[in-house]
Amino acid sequence: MEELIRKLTAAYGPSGREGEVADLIESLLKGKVDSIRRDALGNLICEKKGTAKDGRRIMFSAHMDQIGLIVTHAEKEGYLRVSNVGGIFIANSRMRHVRFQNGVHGVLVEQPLKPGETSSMRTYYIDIGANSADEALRKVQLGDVAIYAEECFTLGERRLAAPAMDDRCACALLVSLMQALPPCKDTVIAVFSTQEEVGCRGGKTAAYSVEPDVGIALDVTLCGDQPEDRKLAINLGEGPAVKIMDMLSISNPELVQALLAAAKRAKIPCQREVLPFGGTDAGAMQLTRGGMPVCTLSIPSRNVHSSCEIVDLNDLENAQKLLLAYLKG
Amino acid sequence: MDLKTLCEAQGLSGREEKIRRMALDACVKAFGQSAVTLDGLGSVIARRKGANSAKPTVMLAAHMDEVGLMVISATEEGLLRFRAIGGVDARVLVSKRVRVGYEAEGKPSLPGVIGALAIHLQTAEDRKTVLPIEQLYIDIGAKDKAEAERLAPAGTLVTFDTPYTPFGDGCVLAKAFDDRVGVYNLLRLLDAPYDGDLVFAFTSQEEAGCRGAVSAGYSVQPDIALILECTSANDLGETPEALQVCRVGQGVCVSFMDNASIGDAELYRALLATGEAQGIPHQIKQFVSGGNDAGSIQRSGAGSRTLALSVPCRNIHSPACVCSVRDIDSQEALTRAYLQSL
Amino acid sequence: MDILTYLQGASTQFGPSGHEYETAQWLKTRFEPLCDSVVIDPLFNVLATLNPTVKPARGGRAPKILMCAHMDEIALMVTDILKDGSLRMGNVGGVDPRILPAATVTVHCRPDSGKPQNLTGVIGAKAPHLLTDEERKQNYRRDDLYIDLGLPVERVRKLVHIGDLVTLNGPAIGLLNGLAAGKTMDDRACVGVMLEAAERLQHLSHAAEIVFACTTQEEVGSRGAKVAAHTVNPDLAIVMDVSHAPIPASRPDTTVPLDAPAATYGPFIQYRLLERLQETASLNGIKLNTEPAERSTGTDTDNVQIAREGIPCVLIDLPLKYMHTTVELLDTNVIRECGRLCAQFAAGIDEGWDDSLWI
Repeated sequence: MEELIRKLTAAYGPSGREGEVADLIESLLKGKVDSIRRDALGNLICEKKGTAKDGRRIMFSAHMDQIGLIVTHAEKEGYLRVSNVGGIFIANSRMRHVRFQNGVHGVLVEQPLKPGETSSMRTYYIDIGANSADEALRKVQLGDVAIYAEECFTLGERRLAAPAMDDRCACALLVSLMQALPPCKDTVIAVFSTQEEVGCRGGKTAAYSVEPDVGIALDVTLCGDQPEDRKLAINLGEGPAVKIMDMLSISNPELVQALLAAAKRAKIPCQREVLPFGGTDAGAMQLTRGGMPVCTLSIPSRNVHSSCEIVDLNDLENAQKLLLAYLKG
Repeated sequence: MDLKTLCEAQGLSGREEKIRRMALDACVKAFGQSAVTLDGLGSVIARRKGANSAKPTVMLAAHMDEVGLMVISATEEGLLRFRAIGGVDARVLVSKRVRVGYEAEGKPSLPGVIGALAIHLQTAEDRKTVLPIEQLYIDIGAKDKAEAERLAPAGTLVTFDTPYTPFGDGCVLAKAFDDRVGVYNLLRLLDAPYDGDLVFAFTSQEEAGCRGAVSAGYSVQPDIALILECTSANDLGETPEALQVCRVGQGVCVSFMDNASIGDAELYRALLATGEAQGIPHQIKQFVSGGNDAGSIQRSGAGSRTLALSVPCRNIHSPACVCSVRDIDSQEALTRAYLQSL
Repeated sequence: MDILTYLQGASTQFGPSGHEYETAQWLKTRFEPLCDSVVIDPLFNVLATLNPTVKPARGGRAPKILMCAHMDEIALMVTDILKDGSLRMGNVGGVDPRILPAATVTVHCRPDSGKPQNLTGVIGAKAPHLLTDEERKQNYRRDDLYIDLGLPVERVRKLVHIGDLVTLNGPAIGLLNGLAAGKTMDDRACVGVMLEAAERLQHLSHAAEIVFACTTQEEVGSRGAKVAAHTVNPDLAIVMDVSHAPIPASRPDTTVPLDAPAATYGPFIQYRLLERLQETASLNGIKLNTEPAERSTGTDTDNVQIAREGIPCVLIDLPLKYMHTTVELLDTNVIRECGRLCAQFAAGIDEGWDDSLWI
């Protein structure tokens, strides 16, 4: 699991530019599933057929994309103006080391604010060490996207920090699950989706063409166990969380009970989650065609949408045990 | 169909019947009745079958509706209260002329004006305040509530009164360039050389939330969709370059991302390359703002690869839009050249 | 149908957004005697189909009408259990925090070790004598409020979980002049309109197939209607939801009179279909006011209109006062009139209804 997470968090893949991540995952699952394809939005769809004739189609969705900064304009002096791709928090962005897909590195800087001015993407720029617009545009194009450049590192015994744990840790979980999956009566479709960070866009088209009976999203959620920070009642290391509700979906009550029961069977700790904002691919899956029961299994993470998102390997390993128990029935 | 007729025609979101008639007639004439359908939101979809089924199905889309106003009630004195259809900034409405009601046989539209308190009578506080739409009125000269309600009942549609006026060096002043330039170019592209399936979608209700494109996208689910639109140009008045978005006269604007969609990366590169190779004036939209039918079409059904090509427009969504003929022609030329290259 | 009796039943059914399974069953049994088939879909929408009674005029395909009204209620959800045994809550749909202080609620628990249980709770807040003068002038925010179960924390932890639902109490009561007040008139009163319409259609001939949909999760974004419209795939839709009747604090142009149904006009409404609705009202002596929606209607119409290849819609509004409180107040005669209007409108739809819809 740790190896997978390190590999996946190192890949480049902001929303709309997930190809590198898709290629990596495809290479990891080749030969382990019955079919692999991509759709018009770049979703990677991997299907493992079930043994039972009347088996259900169960879709898992983990998104490949990460937040980033898109270059909109090159100033005469060589600085690059940017806009956010997905939920960039201004407070997490000051003086950050960033990188582009082609290997160019830069620093994301906030310029001094004028009196009465508030921080926004307009007060930021990326410095790639160019001295003119021409020089800058020889290295980087308008429309190129930069991501936080931090590398994955270990915290304590079993915790890892990196950018893009949201949602690469869940991609790792899903890859690991598919690699370990024994023959199952149901057909399991692992969707590595795109553009979740800009509105669960990939999940929508993937669910439409996959036509599952059940949809389970795998995504990170916030923790409420840091100083002065009880946004929600979730603690790092106390197990994956079965999500009851967020702003994009209310989980199907029976499916919630089924996942909780699977946690019990697998003898792993499990939490329940109510998130007063945000959403996951479950929201997209639930409203596809004639609708389906959905739920999200969340991996607790501290500092979501920063360059140092922290997860606990125990939570991920326990999540896998839960999902295997659920699929076993 | 000339651009002047298209811009001066009245067609608000949900009430595009006049534009719909023009698009329907042109498509039926070009492809025959059986190739043209109207969907459940009033969008016109014309399918031109190609000889080569191995080529991707391409959709070209433009929206028929413009922004405007809708009467909701009358005051005791006979003034009309109204709301905006689509995104209209209340600040562009004061001291403007409008046409109340759709022009029809034997029932012409009524001229109206949107006035406000004279400057002589304003206090210092008044001068700082923006009048919201709830405090603006259309005056058609009615003497009382009864007359106003008889002539302009609740639901009456109101369009800006702007004659199509060429001026300056290749510039034009008109209303509704957004998106009659797209409709105009779609009609000119009905004969574009391409031997794959080509679908023309004249969508409804874009200004009310990109609605018609959802159903049009669902019906067709093309491989590729190019959306011919208009985008706001902020290029005068010493605006900092980083906030100009695009410039009038510099060619059609290719967009890598807006608030409704991230353009397909490959399509983005391909359109830029075509522009370079064919020497067609083009520029890149240098800001992330606005949204259009690309967002709806990209995620309808199984999804499509989409990209927006926009004509730069100053004062978009106001009674006095300004575009350059050069940009309008280059939107058509770039689309034609791209289809040829496919 | 006795409308007050229906409202009394409807206002006590458990059915917060996303958890409408009980209300769905209750309504299924009410539609079954009136329809040819009733199913419940994966999002708990109740879809009740009434087959045509006569063949279409031109011998072609019978038109299909979707009628919708939503059955979900706004509610609260347990988000945290505090060290003293009190509970913090989050919203399921748009609950105005102003209605919460001193409200009596029911917490619906599923303890690990036993059967589902309902606990009585009271919503409390920081007591007035502890507030500053400044604080006392402001409304409570939801974060200042808590649910008191009257139990020690150890018992609470055994019974209650994060994610458990909390419903407000508000059984319907009859007032003077045929008016009634209670919880979840939004939008179960309109489900009542559909039942009225279904009853009348037993005695009317109609060429259209009519599907009554009691939709779910409207309060969190018209989610049930989105999938119901896809499944039913109708030719046209009649959506029904509540609207605001005037009270002293109302601003101009935001309300419709309490004593008659209204129809919405605006870009999301098909204008020719609306004209037909108005003609139907006129022919049947039904007073029908109008109200504008220049942007989204804020109802199931928004998602139904753009389903599949697009669905022409009309939206009928049932006026009420005090929306999203537990004392939503309406005129039961209007429910009857709406039912009559819907039935007559549906009965008038035959092949060719859309001949000049768009041009």
